[in-house]
Amino acid sequence: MRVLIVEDEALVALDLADMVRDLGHSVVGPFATVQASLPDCRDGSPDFAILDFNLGRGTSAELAELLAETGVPFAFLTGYRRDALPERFRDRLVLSKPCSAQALRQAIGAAESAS
Amino acid sequence: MSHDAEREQRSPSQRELQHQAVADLGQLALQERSLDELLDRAVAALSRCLGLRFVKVLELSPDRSHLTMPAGTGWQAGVVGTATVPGDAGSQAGFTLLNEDTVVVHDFRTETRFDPPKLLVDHGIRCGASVVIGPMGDPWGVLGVHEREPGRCAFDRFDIDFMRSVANILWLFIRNQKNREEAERQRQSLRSFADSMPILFAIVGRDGRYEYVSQAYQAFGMNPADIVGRHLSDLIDEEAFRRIKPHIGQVLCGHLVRFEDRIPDGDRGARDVLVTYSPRRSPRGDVDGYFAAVVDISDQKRLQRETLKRTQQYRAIADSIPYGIWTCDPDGRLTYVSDSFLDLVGMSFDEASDFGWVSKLLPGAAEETRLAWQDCVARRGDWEREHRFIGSDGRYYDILAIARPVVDTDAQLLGYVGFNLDITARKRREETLALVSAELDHRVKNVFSLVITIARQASRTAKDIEDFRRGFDGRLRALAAAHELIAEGRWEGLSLKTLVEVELEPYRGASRRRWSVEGPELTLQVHAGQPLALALHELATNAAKHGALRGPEGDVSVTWTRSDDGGVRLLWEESGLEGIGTPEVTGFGSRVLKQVLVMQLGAEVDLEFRKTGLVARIALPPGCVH
Repeated sequence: MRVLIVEDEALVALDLADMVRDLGHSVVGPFATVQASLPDCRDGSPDFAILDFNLGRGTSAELAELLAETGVPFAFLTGYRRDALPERFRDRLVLSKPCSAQALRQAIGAAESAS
Repeated sequence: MSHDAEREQRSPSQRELQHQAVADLGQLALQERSLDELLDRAVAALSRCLGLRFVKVLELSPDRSHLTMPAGTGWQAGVVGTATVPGDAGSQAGFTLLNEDTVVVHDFRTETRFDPPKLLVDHGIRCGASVVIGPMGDPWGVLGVHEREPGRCAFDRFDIDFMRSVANILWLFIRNQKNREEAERQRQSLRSFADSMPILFAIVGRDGRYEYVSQAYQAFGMNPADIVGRHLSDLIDEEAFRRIKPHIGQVLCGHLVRFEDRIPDGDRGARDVLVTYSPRRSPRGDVDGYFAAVVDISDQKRLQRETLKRTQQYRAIADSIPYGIWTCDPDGRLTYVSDSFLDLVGMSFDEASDFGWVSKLLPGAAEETRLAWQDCVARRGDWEREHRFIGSDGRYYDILAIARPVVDTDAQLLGYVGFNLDITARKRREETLALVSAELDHRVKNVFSLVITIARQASRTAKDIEDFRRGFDGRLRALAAAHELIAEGRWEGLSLKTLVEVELEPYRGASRRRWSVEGPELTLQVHAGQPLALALHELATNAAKHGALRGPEGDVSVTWTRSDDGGVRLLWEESGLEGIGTPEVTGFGSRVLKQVLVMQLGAEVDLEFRKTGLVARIALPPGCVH
């Protein structure tokens, strides 16, 4: 699976990328901003995405909506509690920071079986 | 003719005389005469009409012990006016008073009922008659006639009637006089009472003229004598007269009128007075004037005004506190609330009264609040609750309402009194605190992520546990040191120079090292601190393992300059040692220098591996610097 990663903490993003590759998948990105990731979302969108909800001063909500529209499964990565997310996203898959390899595997695995 | 014959018949002319005398006396009594004059005339008439020498009028003393003689005829000089006669039944007079209304004595010598008093004895009196003046139960005195010769007091029925008529006329006159005196006494005592009061009493006729004015009018600088007879409008100014005219109209229609007025008081300014008019009715029942009473209530009025002013002051103070005070009736209906609250929610009092204010609460809480309030009132409980109101500007305002029940001395609930405290600021702070806590959570979790990432990286490349520990420890300390500087700078920024020195500190070792840390004083943005700290740590670790810091002769020079675009150009230059091979920059170091700095800070990094050690050039964009 091609997994998009959007995370503004570079070390965390790179580490996630390592974990994804360790699970045998390829990484799209990682990107620190929604802006940077957009080109790769339009043409040949990823199979799965991991989105850090709080990016710099904004959020990845816009990207989440775009992915939802285009039917790309994704998970939020966040240091906040689930109820800090906007209401419309509260049913989404949430990976809590720090993210363990196990949780990641389960999330990607679920997306895989769903597709 | 014998005495009996004489006695038996009075000639018709004598009867006429008697009738005439009664008529004359009656007439006299109706006129304004003195009692003395009437008594004298009565005494003379009796003497003449009955043909008797001695006539006496006896007046009973107030203590009823004796009688005095205010009038009489036939007596020796000095008797009338001074003589007294005992009042007990032992004398004729006393007997008359006590027992009969008419007593006839034919001859004292044969009289058994009583003895003649000294007075009669001294004058050689042997007979007579007496009648009571006044009612039997409460007599005024006795009217008596006497003679020396016993046969002379042969009275017939008509003679007695004549005496009684005279006595009755005297009594009527006396009674009238008593009544008049009593009336005058009462009037006088009323006047004294009126004069002693600090109340103006006046009696005014229907024509508007003063008939009586009490002495108290002097206090107004007017002499009572000058006022009586004058018209009301002569004494008070036009404006005042205009004011009271309608009240006078009312009283003359038969109504009791009461009103307050303010009247000028010479040089003392003005007085507040309470005026009462009550109608005076003539015997026919129509209103022919009125009684006026004017009481000075200046003190009470001043107190009233002061109390009102104070109440208004308290209200003003209360109203100035956002959001003021409020009161409710025993059912919990709003009866007063400060304007500051009404202005806040944009309501008129009518709209807010009763339970209207509930509609300005947040819809979700409105009904619940109202029920809780009504329940509280029913229990007479204390009320303390936070409300969120929608202001007229559409914003939310947090208000803490505190109220207590007001109970009278009979334990009846009179209502509630409460005040509103603006706690919007407090609530905002609470909310901010919650936000900050959440933010803190987030950051702490981020740090955990970072630590785990570092641990993972360290474990990938470490040869053994010791190696792992060194790598792991070192990096964490580098981060911690950077954070320390950030905290010291209160999250506003950190000095580049200090950061460099702090990160190189662990590698100082022997003092033979000549460090060169040079550059203009620069403050880095907080977000640049962490990545740069890690980068410096990696450079130093690498130099210590593979580069110039391997031996004591090696050196590091860290210099920086400000670039044209406002950013920073940092130069890391190792020297002092030779023959350094191309090192393997560890995976983590490479990641940090080549990827993290670039991705996170937008930096440009150039690494040059020389034989004398590593030369690294890092260009930070302006956004990293203050």
